Amino acid sequence: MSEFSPTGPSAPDIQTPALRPSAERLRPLRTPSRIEVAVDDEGFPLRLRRNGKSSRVAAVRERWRIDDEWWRRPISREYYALVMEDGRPVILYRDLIEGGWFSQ
Amino acid sequence: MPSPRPHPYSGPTHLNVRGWETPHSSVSHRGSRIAVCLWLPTFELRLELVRNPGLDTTSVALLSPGESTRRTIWQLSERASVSGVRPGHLVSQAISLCPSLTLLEPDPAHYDAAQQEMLNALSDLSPVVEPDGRGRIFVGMDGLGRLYGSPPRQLDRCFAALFGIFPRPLVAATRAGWALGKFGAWVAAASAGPGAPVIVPERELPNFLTKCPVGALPVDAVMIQRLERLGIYTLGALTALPDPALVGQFGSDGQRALAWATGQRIDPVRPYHRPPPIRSSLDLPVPVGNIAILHTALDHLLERALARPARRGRSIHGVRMIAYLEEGGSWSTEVILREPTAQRDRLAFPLRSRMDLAPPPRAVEGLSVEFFQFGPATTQTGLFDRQEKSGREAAGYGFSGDTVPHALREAVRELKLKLGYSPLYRVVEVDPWSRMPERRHALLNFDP
Repeated sequence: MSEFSPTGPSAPDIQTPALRPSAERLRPLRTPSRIEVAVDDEGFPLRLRRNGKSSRVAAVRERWRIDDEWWRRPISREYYALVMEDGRPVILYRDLIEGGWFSQ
Repeated sequence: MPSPRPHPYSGPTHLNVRGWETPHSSVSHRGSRIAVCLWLPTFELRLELVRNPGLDTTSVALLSPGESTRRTIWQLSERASVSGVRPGHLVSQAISLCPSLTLLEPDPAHYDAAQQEMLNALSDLSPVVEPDGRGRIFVGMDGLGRLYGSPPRQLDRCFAALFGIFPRPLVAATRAGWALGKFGAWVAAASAGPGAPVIVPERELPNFLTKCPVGALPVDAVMIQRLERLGIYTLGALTALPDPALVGQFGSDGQRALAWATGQRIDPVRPYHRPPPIRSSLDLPVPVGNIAILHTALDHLLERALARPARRGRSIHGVRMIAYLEEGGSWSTEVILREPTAQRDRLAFPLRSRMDLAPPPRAVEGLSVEFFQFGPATTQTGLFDRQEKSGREAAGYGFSGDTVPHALREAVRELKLKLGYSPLYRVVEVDPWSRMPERRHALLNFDP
């Protein structure tokens, strides 16, 4: 099992063309926030740590991948829908281009 | 092998099962136990023949509504059926069987108007009138014996009411039955001939029912099929079965079927109540066949109808769209929403989809939207609902300078005085189908 993954670059730029025209008034919802993740040998999340608090993953409910916008600034993410030990559902992804884990 | 089951009447059209699923109806005293059933078989086709009397002597068929690519036959005249055409045949099949067949497009707005006229006319006769699909109406006669007289006279009054609105051939084709409960009256009407009503006195009802086919039972069609496969074709044969056997095979359905078959279960006629629909219409300056323009017109009509004062405090559960076609006729579609709403887009989406799947067959001269079924006020009204009960279910999408409720405007003003800015936001769609969750919605300052 690997340790918590090294911190990658800062949170991805989520400014999109659709949001720019009135960026001073529009606030995006569900923006990704960085999170530290410990993974197993196959790369599945085992533990999450945020704000110094650690919690264990009870189950991986779903996993999917998004590849988009290859024509300008490619986006490649591997999403995981998790259930934590205390029953909370969590969705997070691994940025496959720049590295790092983000919860969303 | 041909089925040996008897058919005491010509049209064992299956009753609407859902409408009869009223628990405790056998003991309920609301409604009327004495029922008259007035049934006009192939109601829609007969209305077309009244409108075009020249077609009466030809082979005519009415196309099924709501299908665009594979049109099938819905109703047909006797002449057409002699040629071998049957309901459900494809148009190509029907034409090959009967080359002289005249095909008619359905005109649902006309049929609904005729049905409503029928209901209004019979409502003058009795306060308890209940429709069960187009062309079949139950009239409650409890307590009206002293006013109208014996059952034959009561039926005469019903026919007289119909003569007031329909031409003679249409009334002459109407079948009528008088009995205790809707089921008895329906079976009586179905076994009656045109202009020859059947009256079943209370004590004769069980005996009368024994000869009727099981197809008359208002139960699931699968159950009817199973009964017939088991060789049970009449209600008499059904009642001969032991109670536990029926319940063992069909559960509670079997029990109910037995109660109907023996005449123990009496479903009263219930007063028909429908709130007046909210309607908004638009006459197009030129006939339009472009779906995109019709979509825009639909949005406009929905907005207008939603803004009606009569709509306040209610969400919409059922919506109907009617298009009046060039050179006469109409096209309509209706939607019952899973959850009532007052959002224009949520109302428009299913209607648009229906229109895309089965567009009006000809150019449209006028469009109409009708809210006919209502739900409660939506629950998202806490903050926005201090003065206007209807709230603003549109989640803020529709707010403009004039439409923001006064109470909300005042609340924002007070907050701005206190904080120096408006701390309220509304959620707006940015790219709702985006694969990136953060791009789907955003918060927008709300500062009316």
